[in-house]
Amino acid sequence: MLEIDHDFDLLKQQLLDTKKPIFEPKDFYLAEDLHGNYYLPHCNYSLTTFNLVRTFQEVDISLNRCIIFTNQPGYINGLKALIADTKELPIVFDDCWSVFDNNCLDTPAWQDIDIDAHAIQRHALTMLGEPRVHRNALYNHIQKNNYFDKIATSYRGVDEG
Amino acid sequence: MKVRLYTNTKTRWNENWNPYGILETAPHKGYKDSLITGKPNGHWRTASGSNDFQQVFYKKIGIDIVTETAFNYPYPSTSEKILRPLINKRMFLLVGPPHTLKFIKTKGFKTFEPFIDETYDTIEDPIDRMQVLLQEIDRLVTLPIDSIRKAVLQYADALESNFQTVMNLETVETEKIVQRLSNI
Repeated sequence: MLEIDHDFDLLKQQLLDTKKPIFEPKDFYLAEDLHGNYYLPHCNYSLTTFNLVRTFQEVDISLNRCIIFTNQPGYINGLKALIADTKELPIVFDDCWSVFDNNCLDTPAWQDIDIDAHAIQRHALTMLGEPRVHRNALYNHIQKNNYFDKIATSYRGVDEG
Repeated sequence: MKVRLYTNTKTRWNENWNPYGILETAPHKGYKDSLITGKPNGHWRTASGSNDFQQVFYKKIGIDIVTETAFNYPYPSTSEKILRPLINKRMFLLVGPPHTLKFIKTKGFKTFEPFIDETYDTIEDPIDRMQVLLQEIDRLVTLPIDSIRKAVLQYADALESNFQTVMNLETVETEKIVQRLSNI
């Protein structure tokens, strides 16, 4: 979803290019939505979800032809707020944590390290990436209380990954 | 007729949870502790060598204060960020949407009560949740460092269990998806 988030005409064109007069039972569009941005106050769906639904409706393809993979349990509730007819709801896999996008685990690369408590030098670590309000709040708290000797900190994308 | 809505990516709507400045949330310039070494790991599917560096400095800390991508959000949300302490066998606090700890427990992961007070996970108001998180951080960092070391040993079984669970996570989730898809 990230690739079309800025312009849903890209999705619209893909849908128009692939639309069939009658879909086979096992014909589905697959989408992954792992980025919880643009949450409107008092709405339980994101603008990404809103735009997805509107684009399908615009080209007159039922959302029930769509399977959405997300890491947000309860995501279907936002769709229910946008789609009145439950028969039109997409199929949602809402507990996909590790299998898509950048969360995929390169398991063999990880070492099974020993738990060596003697090696611990600091109470905590926090790797704060791109500035967001909650990260700014935490960073300000660390700075205000001079916790840098207790909490190893990186901020603004420095080694946040 | 316009049927879609767009907003500036720099002004995400769900970022507007502290409009009256109850908490200090002004951004600052970048900062990096010398303990944190290596290059940003980027995505997990990079060459294997680039994944190893974090394990060096993770050994030197007791608790990872994880800041997930979303904080003010109606659903739990998990990313690669919370995978790091699970892989590196460290305790963690999760600065993320409410009920996310509850969600990851459904995946078989263990958390660290009573050493870490995890009531923050149940608090839905973002300002209240953040204040409780900051209070818990205050409490933890004022403990003697030996208390942190002892807690890591006390929770060694949970940390080992989390490592095994995360190693199997992709397989378990993939099998579950395949099974569900085969029933459609």
